[in-house]
Amino acid sequence: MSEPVSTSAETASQKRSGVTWEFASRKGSIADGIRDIWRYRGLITQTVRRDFIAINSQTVMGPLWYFIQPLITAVVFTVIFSQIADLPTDKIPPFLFYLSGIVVWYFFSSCLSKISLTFSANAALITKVYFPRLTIPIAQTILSLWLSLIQFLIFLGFYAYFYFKGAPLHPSYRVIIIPALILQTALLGMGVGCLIAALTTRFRDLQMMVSPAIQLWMYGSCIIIPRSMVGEKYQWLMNINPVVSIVESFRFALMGQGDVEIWQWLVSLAITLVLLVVGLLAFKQAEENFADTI
Amino acid sequence: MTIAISLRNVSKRYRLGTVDQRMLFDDLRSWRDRVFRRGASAGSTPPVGTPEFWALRDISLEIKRGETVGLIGTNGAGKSTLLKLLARITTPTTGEMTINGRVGTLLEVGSGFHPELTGRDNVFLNGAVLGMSRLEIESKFDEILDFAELHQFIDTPVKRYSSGMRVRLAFSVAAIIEPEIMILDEVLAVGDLGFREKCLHRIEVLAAGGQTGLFVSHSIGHVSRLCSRVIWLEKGTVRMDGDTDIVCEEYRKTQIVKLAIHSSGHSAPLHLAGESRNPAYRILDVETRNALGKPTTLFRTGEVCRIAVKYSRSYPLNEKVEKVILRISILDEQGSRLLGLDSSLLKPRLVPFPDASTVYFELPRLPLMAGTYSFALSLFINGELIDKVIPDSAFMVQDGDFFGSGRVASPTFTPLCVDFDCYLEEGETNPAYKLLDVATRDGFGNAVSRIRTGEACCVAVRYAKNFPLDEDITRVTLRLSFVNQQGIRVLGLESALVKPKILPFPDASTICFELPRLPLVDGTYSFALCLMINGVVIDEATPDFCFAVEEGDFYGTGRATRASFTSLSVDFKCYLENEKNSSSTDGGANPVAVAAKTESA
Repeated sequence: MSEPVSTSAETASQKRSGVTWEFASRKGSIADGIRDIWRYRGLITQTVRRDFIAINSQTVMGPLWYFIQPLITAVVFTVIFSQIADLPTDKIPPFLFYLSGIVVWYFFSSCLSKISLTFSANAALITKVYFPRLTIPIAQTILSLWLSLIQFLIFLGFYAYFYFKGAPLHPSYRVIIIPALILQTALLGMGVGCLIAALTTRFRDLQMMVSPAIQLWMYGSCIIIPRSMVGEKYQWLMNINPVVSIVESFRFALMGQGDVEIWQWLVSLAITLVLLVVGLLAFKQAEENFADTI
Repeated sequence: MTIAISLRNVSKRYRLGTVDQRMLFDDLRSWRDRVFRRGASAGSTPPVGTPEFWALRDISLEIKRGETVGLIGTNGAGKSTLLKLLARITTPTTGEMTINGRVGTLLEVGSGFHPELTGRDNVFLNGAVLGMSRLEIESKFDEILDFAELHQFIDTPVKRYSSGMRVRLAFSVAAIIEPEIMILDEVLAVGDLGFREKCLHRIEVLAAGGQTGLFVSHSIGHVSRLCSRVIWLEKGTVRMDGDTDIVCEEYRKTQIVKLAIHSSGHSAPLHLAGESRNPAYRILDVETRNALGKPTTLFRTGEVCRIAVKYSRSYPLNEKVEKVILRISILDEQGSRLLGLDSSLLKPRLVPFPDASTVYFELPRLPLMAGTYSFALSLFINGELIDKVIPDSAFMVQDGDFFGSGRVASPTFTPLCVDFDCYLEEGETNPAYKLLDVATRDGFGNAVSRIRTGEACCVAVRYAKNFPLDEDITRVTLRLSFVNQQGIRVLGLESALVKPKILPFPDASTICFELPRLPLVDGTYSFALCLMINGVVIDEATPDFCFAVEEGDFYGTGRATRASFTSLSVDFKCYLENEKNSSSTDGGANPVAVAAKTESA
């Protein structure tokens, strides 16, 4: 190449020349993996960009749908569960109660369902090019987070509306915990998503179960029924479902109403971390074998 | 870090079979074994009864930085598996491998494209997949665009691209970003000829610039052009590893033997045309004969080769037979036409056309290189295609002394031999060995850029010495390739094939290749040159120079060879069997043929 090379490319090539892969049939440390992902951070941003554009291409309203979807669901829930079935909502205005649950749940379920498709949706790429496969779940999580932030803003809008109308909302210093809750939701979605993604590479049947399972999980996660309404018999289920604590903590921090103890949240955090580790290990195993089993 | 890739006893096993319930139970069992009886089994032993397949077995090899290596082998030899391992798409079952440097793979062109995104976004995405940062891609973006020639469409979603456009864009990304190790799997099989040539050239440039490259191709031509070393895989093991020419030659030989075995059984020709309707004339049989007229399927390059085409009439035609044309295509092992012989180019000797006879095509000096060849024949009467056949018979050519110099041309260098001469021009001398330029001259020595087929032509290559060589110059070889517009080498002339006239080698002079009758058909051609001294390549050049060949009368019959039928004209004769006795229009009747007849009688 006789063309003048720009300085940025030069430094890049210097940086590149340090790259060495050494691996036996099964090897690779965690630090290597993290370094590898960091090297491919450009791919993560590109994937997020790609999916964001792809989702919104050829739609008239584009990202507006992310405002509308949770609103429609919240209205439907309000009419059916609050107006018709007359279920209580912990003294929170029903619409706001449902909307808060939906925002959290949408974030979690969209991480989960998108990540669970990692291998099947990107099979063409994965069987042709090497890149750290974990970049896909990470990118999907970032994309879901991005879209959920839009929905969170909507929620804040309605929150302000109800607050000034004099609804019994009690915001407190506890809102500082919200970023931690978001992170926990992201990690939980990633852990479970990676686990399902790994299992579906062996058994496609699981893919069919993902959507109904997510729906079932939602009903068990205090999105519609507040925890205070759940009978004693089923409280253990609430304890081992990490989403319950997240949702209830979220409501508690923002609106001063919610049924959650600190130990319950710690349990949920521990379960989240365990699921994350198991999910990542399974994912690693699957990425090694995927190209052969597809 | 001079080793780019190193493999130590690498094997790869695949399990065959489908996913079913048994697999679930197998998984559960091995999981249970691992949890409850830790260490009892290694975990890598497959469950009993699962059929397995070793795609690679105990491969050990090293590829140095800057080497361009070709991978050849028949289907199922493990080439793609090896590339997949090196590309880190899959992991070896046993063994170790080390890769120094970033790997850029192009196992399937455009696989990383997202249809909804524009070409521009996809370039960035594709670059990111290959491990580039946004900044790096930005600095190369214009170059990529120039290479792909897609300026107009770069902001159009890729889903609206044609497949050719996708290929161009994908290759451009991979070719321009210069990964340290480039892995290409048969990507050159796609794209139009012009772009393919551009890609090949780009790879050559990268290879010359010290890039490590690994290519899989079924095209020995591409491999021998690009690679300095070739690894031949067979059934998952390395069969041969070494110099390109040697390995390619060995590989080709085994392929020929396979083909020859395959086509040894002589059977009836396959009629392509006239199968539905009964043709008036049928081509019955095709036979190759030697100088003595004896049927044989084994020839040497440069020998007399006669192709005897037997035909007979099935029923009379309504019209009078006024014009008879028989065309023979000689096909190489891949089934592509290497040479076309068209009887209509010669003085007409097929009319009157007997009801049944044998038409002979005679090549006084067989120009074909060692290999196995087959035929395709078509018979035209009064301008209408009457019969077209692809006989099952094949013939083999072995290395022979076409040029009468005792030397044999390399099949990886030229597909055909034609007469030429190579000598030094008297006069001007400057100190220095570098190929300077090339010029074409007509029969009178005047520089021209347009020549007619069949005219005398001289290609003058000027060179000069840059620095003195330590050793004595005992052997000088200059290779001259004629490259057509599609970038395909149609003819190669190697000075060592004719009697040596370029020694002693002056410090600076002009080497002339003289073709008494230019065999090229009309078109535009350029040159590729390679100068070797004492067996070492001293200089290679692909000059910018182009020259045009116009339709000309190669055969002296006033008729022009058609470029769509053959890419080269070679001398041949064509006559009816019984014509030898009649008064021939061609004064030079065939003494060998007469001799053959007397002998067989």
